[in-house]
Amino acid sequence: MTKDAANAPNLTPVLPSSRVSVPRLILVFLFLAALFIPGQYYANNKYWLPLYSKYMALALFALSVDLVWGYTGLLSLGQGLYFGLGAYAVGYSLKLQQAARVADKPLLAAPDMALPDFMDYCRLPEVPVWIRPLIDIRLALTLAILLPLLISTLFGLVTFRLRIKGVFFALITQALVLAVYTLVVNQQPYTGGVVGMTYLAKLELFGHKFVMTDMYYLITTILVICFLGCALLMRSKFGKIITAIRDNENRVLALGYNTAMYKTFIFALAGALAGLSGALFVSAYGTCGPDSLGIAWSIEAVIWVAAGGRGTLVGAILGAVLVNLANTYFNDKYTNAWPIILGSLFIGVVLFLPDGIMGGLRTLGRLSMKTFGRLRLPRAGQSVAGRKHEASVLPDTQRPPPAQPSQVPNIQALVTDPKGP
Amino acid sequence: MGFQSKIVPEEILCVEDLTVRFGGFKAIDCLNFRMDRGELRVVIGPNGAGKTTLLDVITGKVRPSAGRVVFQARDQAPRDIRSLPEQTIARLGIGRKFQTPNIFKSSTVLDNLILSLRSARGVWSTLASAFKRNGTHRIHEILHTIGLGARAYHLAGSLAHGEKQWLELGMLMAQDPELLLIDEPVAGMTPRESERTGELLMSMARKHTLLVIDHDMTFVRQIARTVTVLHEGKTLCQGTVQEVQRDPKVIQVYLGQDRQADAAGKATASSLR
Repeated sequence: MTKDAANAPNLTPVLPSSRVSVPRLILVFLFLAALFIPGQYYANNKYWLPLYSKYMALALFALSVDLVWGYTGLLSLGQGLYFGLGAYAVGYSLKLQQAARVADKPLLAAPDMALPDFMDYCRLPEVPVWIRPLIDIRLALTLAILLPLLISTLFGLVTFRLRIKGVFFALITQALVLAVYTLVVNQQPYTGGVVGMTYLAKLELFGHKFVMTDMYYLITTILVICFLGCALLMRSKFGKIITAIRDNENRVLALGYNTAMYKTFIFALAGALAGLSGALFVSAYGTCGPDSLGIAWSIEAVIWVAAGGRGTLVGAILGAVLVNLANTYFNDKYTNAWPIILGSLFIGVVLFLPDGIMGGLRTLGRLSMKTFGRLRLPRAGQSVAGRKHEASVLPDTQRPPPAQPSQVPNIQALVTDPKGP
Repeated sequence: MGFQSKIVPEEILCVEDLTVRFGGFKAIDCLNFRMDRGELRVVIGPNGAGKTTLLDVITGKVRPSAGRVVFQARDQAPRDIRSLPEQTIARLGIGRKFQTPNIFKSSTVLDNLILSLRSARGVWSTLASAFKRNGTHRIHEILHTIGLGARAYHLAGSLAHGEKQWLELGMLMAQDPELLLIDEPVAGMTPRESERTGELLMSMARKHTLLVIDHDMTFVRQIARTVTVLHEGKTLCQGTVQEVQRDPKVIQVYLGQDRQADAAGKATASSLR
């Protein structure tokens, strides 16, 4: 906004609902491009590359948490449930495939299909009927998205229509994930119990086996596509309503929007994303355990988002990758210190960086702009115009003379005032 | 006065025998209240008179214990809106300005108005509307009227208090409801700002029906034609500002019983000249 335009008596021309800042756009694209670097840099590194693949899958999970918590303000401490559903759907598929390979049987659902090791240990006579079809990875991947989508839709419809929010919402989501965790751990013959499913087959899609760099690029590409989709959605009118609900749900209701449906939609979308990330995580990691259904896991995801910057998509990815890198690093050096470090990190972020890394960077950017620059960030707060604009509330001709000091401000004073004017 | 009422008055809102209980306390006690289309009505009353509760009931935020609230939208049959959800009532054509500024502080001024603009409210139609752009002209007009043109791209949260109040009024204009419920629009404003707010409201009253709640008598005198006084959840009296201020019952309610009603009445009358 130039000084001239702001001082002009008429309003400045207003067309786009939100201005696209080109430097910011370039930064975002650089960031997305940078996500592919580890694939090159660690191309032959059997330690780091799978780890980075894992981080990228977790970054997708962080996006899911960010949509629900960062943008809509619904603190879900149970996103792990949807992650877990996706993880187990693909986990079953890869486990059945691995068993079939070992037994040298075709990859087909049949009553006499090869029994995975954990079912064998538990003396299960044959693969349960409901697990059999999952050997088809295409079906498993579809279910990994559709099942969380369905369950989160139902859950959202019930809770949001009942106007459950805040702490109660957080607690219910947490209780649900805990219930499913207990169920999964107790059904060892069907789920592998606490250990889960290990030694999974490699992900094979369209006749191509995804390992190492292929796997990394697959996950990162999906992450980038989801990022762009979310970014478009959040810039659209829908996204604005979602953030408006976070800011002031009563106002949105009073404007006539059915907020429960909007919240359900975003919760369902986040559920689907979490399912997809669970599926990718298991494919990259080669193991599928009930950890992701544990309470700690869901809370940890919230911390990633808080650390990276709540309500920004870049922040969610950044937070997930950096915190998990730190996790790997510290687990190597001081095995038991991680929970303490994670806790201190969360406290530190809440106290000193309430908007996370992204908030810190934004402040830094603004400061440097002020110091060095002619360019101002579009959202730098105070306008150059100051309070001048008040003059344009009504044309001068219609404006009444200023209020007389003798006018008494309220009825109480008016009636009790013994002197009068 | 700046507004014109219709020649044949048509009822837009009719509240019948309304009672609202919060536990044992009756916030509204068998209240009857009517408004005609195109009217600008001011409701005053001491604290706890049930003014805000009345708005809560009309907008569906609070469910009444007894009574009816009938709203007649233009070209539609009268409808009891007592048990409808908030968003449905809003879509029927009732807009509300809350007592404290209720805006979307992390959206820009422009986005605040765009979200309020009259349009389909469903999830799918919102998703589809990403590819359309309409109402720009109307938004221009409103930005100009509320004097925030130069701040269109500023975050609403960075506005001054008075500007936030105006922004919320602008959001109401964009929403374009038939009946506007406005709760203390000039609270916390300077006399100059509240004068302008008054004019803004009177200009809105030409096309809409307005129900304004306020304490500020300077402001009430500026805008009001008919004033309803609420007390302990009931209508105490109704009339012009002068009539209401001379009414011994009103004076008694505001003063308590141990004062001379006559003397105060004189003071009131003289202050009006």
